Amino acid sequence: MNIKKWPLLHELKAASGSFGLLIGLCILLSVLDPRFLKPDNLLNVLRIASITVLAVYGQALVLISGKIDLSMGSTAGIVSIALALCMLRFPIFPSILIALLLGAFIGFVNGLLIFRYRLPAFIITFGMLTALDGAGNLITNNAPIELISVKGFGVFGGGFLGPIPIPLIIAVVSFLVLRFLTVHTVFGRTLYAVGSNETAAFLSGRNVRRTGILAYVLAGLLVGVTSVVMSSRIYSGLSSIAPNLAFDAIAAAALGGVGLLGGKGNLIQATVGAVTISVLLNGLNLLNVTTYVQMITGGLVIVFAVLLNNLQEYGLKALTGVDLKKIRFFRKGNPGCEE
Amino acid sequence: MRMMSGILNTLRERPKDVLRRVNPSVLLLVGLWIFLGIFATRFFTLGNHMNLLRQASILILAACAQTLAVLGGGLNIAVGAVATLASVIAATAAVQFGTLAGFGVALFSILLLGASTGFVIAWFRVDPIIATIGLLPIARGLAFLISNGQPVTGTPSTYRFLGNFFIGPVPVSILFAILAAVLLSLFLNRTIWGRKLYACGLDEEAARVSGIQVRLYRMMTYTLSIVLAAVAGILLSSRINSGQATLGYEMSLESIAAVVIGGNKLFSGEGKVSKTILGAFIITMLSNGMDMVHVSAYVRQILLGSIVILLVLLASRKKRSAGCAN
Repeated sequence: MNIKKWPLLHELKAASGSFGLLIGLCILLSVLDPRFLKPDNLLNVLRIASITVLAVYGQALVLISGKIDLSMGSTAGIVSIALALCMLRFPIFPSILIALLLGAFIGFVNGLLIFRYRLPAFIITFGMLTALDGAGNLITNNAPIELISVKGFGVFGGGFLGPIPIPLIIAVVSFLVLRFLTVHTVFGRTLYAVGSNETAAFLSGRNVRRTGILAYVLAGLLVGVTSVVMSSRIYSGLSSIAPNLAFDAIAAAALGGVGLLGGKGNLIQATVGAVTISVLLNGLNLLNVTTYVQMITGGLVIVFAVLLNNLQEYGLKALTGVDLKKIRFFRKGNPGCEE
Repeated sequence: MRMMSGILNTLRERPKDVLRRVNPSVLLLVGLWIFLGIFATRFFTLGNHMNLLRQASILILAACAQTLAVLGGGLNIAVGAVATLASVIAATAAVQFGTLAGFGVALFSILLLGASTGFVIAWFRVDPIIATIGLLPIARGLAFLISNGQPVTGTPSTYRFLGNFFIGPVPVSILFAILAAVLLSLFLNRTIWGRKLYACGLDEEAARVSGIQVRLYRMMTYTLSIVLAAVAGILLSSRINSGQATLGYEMSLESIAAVVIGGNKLFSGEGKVSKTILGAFIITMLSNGMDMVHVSAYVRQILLGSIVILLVLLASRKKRSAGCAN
């Protein structure tokens, strides 16, 4: 069977490595703590994963286009505040619409500055992170806006449709839509082209600018959805709702095998990465590790995921300059016994 | 003699042409100084200027750290987090073993952290920006872990010396920062190691072909950058006489802003310490001015972010060529 004709198989093959890592991690955790395998806990992991996975999709789209989005944490914060402020005045659905539009708009501004004005993504989104964080704190003075009085808002984070949690449904729907977008549309193929080689994509007549901006808009929108679901879970609007969201999302994407330098990776890998991070954090929680250590773990995951990825790509010899074949231990057969 | 004729030539030129040759950042600094002098009361006092120098000294060190990373062709997103970690380690160790030992422990442990980051960047080809993005939560988490989220206090009385004492009217901290910056500049420009470091940042392949151990120098660049960030953190810690895990995160962005506003080009491997110092003074003067007119911390955060975006926008408009992407 020609694997190239089946993009899904191709994507699954690319994700197989990180999937193996996930399985290994699950086995390790269930040995370390039997509570891990309880249905309640697994459902909890799944629910948390289905919230973070949205931000990871957003980050993955941006990473595939060869850029990065560090502003996710404070974007989520300001969307959460906007949602809460609207919700105290308007009905639920218009408020959510406004909040999502705000997320998309922030993404649009990022994308415009980065792809229209050709500014370095790291600095722009880092600046945006700081500026929006300040704005969020200024509006609320860093206090949560309670939304207990709003009836029915908790559905998005904690509700069930039959036995299935609502966040999972949101995640699955976004996965299907985004996978269709990246695999079967001109936008998706252009996105990969832009990420692999922006100049080549431009010279072959692709609309680099529109594609890149759209990637950022989608990322902003997805962060908006994440923020709405998170706000719904805690029934309030909070500027520091997910301060490390961007870093967690980058760690998850890297762990899934999405290339941090563009053009590589798919949504299945992003999903596996997001689930792995959630499992890892859940395991650390079960083992009574503090949030501080979890933060450190997140950073280590970013560095080591990229490191392993590079090892896979270049090989140990190219990277370290050590030719392993020259080291006796690794040589096939024992050179001393050759005839 | 040459200098004399240079001055004479300058005098003969039209003012417009002279202005064009002067680094625009110098004009910005002078302009800002006059502007603040006119509009902010209490700005034109000796005390405020000494305060300005004290504030600038921390940013000068952080911006020097950033300059090194820029010379390596990357960025150091973790300057602020590393500085915070260093402040917490220094204060914690100083409470136990005394001031000098505290500084020593902080420098040594950050040296280890920096060396391992540099190693990963150089040998495993992890992009420096991504490696420092990973380092940020690591350093932040470690800082919180060590201090348990509380300010570390109870440091010995000598701990304050570096950040708070004056020689005559001049703060010790600015002398220290300038000394460090001058040493760094001498190292970069007058030693063979420094020149090789530049060469690696400008064109890695050319450096490799001409027999420079590129990996070693890449590692050195980022290790030094992280250690300098730690020195900035120690100065900050000495200034506030404690170590706090919640302080100093905006230093990363401020240092990038200082490097850019001083006129250095990002992602080119070019850069000068002198320009960075200029940039650090401009940024400090801005925040000092905002202090004068009582701008809240949150608004300053918004302004800092916007200024950085605006700066990068302006800097890129000058050199942008029409046509192709990139």
